[in-house]
Amino acid sequence: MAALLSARNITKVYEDTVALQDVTLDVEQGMTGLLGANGAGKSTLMTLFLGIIQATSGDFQVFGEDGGDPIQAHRLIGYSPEYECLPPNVSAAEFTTHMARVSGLPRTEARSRATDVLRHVGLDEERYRPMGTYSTGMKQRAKLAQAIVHDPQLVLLDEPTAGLDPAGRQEMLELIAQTSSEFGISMLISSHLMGDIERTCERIIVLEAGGVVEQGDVSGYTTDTETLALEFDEGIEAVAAALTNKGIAVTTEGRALLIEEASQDDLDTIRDVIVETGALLHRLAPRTQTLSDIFRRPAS
Amino acid sequence: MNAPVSGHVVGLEQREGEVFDLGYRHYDGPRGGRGKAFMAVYDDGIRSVLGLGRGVAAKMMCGIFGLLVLGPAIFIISVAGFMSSFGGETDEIPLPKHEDYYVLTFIILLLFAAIVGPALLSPDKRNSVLSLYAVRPLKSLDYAIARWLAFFTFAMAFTIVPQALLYLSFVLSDDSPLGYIKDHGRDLWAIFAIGLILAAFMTSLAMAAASLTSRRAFASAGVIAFVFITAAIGGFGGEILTSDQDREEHGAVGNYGDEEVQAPDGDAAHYIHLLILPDTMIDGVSRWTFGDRAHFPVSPWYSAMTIAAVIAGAFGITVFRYRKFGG
Repeated sequence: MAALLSARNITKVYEDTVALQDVTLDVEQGMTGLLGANGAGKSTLMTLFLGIIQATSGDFQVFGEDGGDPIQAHRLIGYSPEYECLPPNVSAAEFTTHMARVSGLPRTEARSRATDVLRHVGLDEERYRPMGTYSTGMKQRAKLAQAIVHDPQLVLLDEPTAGLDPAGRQEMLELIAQTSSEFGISMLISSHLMGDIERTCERIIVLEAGGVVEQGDVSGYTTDTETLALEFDEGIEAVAAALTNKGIAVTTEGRALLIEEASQDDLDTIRDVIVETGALLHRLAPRTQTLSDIFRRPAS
Repeated sequence: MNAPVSGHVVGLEQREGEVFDLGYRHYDGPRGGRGKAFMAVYDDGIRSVLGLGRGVAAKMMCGIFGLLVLGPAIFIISVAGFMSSFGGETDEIPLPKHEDYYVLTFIILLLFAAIVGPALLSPDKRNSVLSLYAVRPLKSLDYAIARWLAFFTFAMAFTIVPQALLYLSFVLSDDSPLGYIKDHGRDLWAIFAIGLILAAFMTSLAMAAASLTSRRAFASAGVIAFVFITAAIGGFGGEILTSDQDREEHGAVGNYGDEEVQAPDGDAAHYIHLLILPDTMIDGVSRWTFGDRAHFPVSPWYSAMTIAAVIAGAFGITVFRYRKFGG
């Protein structure tokens, strides 16, 4: 199956800055995360796929068509930019209806879909209030609503959790993931927070300084490793000292001890040491590699 | 990878007759292209001027200006009606006629254009709403022209409706209504023609100013400043260039009373006077359209060309500024 978005050797140069350099990537169906620090080129890549800016060189395709004339593609694409983009004196109901109509939906359908979508994102009660009075979380939801109101096949969300507290971020991500999985809308989500991507996306593209450093399935990166992690509630120092005495190399990471390539004998020793020291073991499991590890690895 | 099934998975089934929460649904109906998007932006422009879906202040603004432009017509009709009910001849009192109407309302129309017009373009730029239009099936210029036409619709209504009411009252108060229409048929097309020109003038100025700044207040000030500064240049220039002979014959430039005067060729004072756009519009173009050419020194064609140049220039600025999104 053809990728929804694909870029081949895309380079984008602003006057004296290289925003994207020789980027080649594919965005397939499902949830894809675009991870990178601020200035890595995430927003540039998105606006390029949307046809808002032109690439300096390279080719890209949207829905398998060359990205030259975006008008056709725009009927089936939704977008929410990183920054605020909502008129403050207009109500969410009015604005979402309007955006549905601009996307080509008939008037009555636009109105009923706007109502449904605003309810879906949790803005049912507040939909007649001017959006300037909304909290950051509500604005992010309104931005999501206008991006999905015309039932697109693909939605590009640029930093949809920006400005939210951890609980708000979690709720927003759950809403996005639910919208994608239940209704089959593919999403490309950019974030500088790896936790966001890890929790919600099936595929990941990592951008660094305008180039792609990683792309693939998230599950491929979050596999179990050979490292054994022991988390303690109490007595971690005693265990660490005892294990070192018995010749097992340990490293301490917060409330956890990490042991590389533990053998069966090592496991027996560890069990005995925990019993002897009376330490309160919280968890013992092979360590899962997280996306944080990708970031710690030097870019190759 | 457990990618979702391609196409649209049905999450919630819609059954006929249900009125409760359906949440998100898929849409399989028709999807319009640029034409539909254009109409949607136009409609939204109309709603924006009317303040629908916006706050109370926006709603009041259009109403206040509507009343102000209608006010003189209502006053004239009331006075004429009052006079005739007492058996008086309405011709005996000097009530304003069609050609006088814009003397009364030009400044109101200009303020309407300056205050309300920029609301159709500037805030979308200021609040980055344009980035959302940029990913819809329409071009930047479609957006700008749809907004232009939305304001033009109101400008037309505000210039034509009061005049049409006036005309209607003249017809109805005449002893022979049909005879009045026969004798004054020209007024009807003049009302329409001048409405068109004046509306295009107001709209193009307001939209050009709004296309140059993302701040509404600056755009409003820009419209007023443009009219006043050009008028000042025209006024001072006229004074400086007026010949002594001309001054002896007519007093100051533009004070031509009821005489029909044509400027002699090459009389620079009269041409620079064209920069006083309200005079050029009202005395040059408007009165001429109504068949009354007594109040302006130069040929009406020069007035018409001046106004046309302002409209074309201002429209050109808007087109240039909206040639592409984010341009």
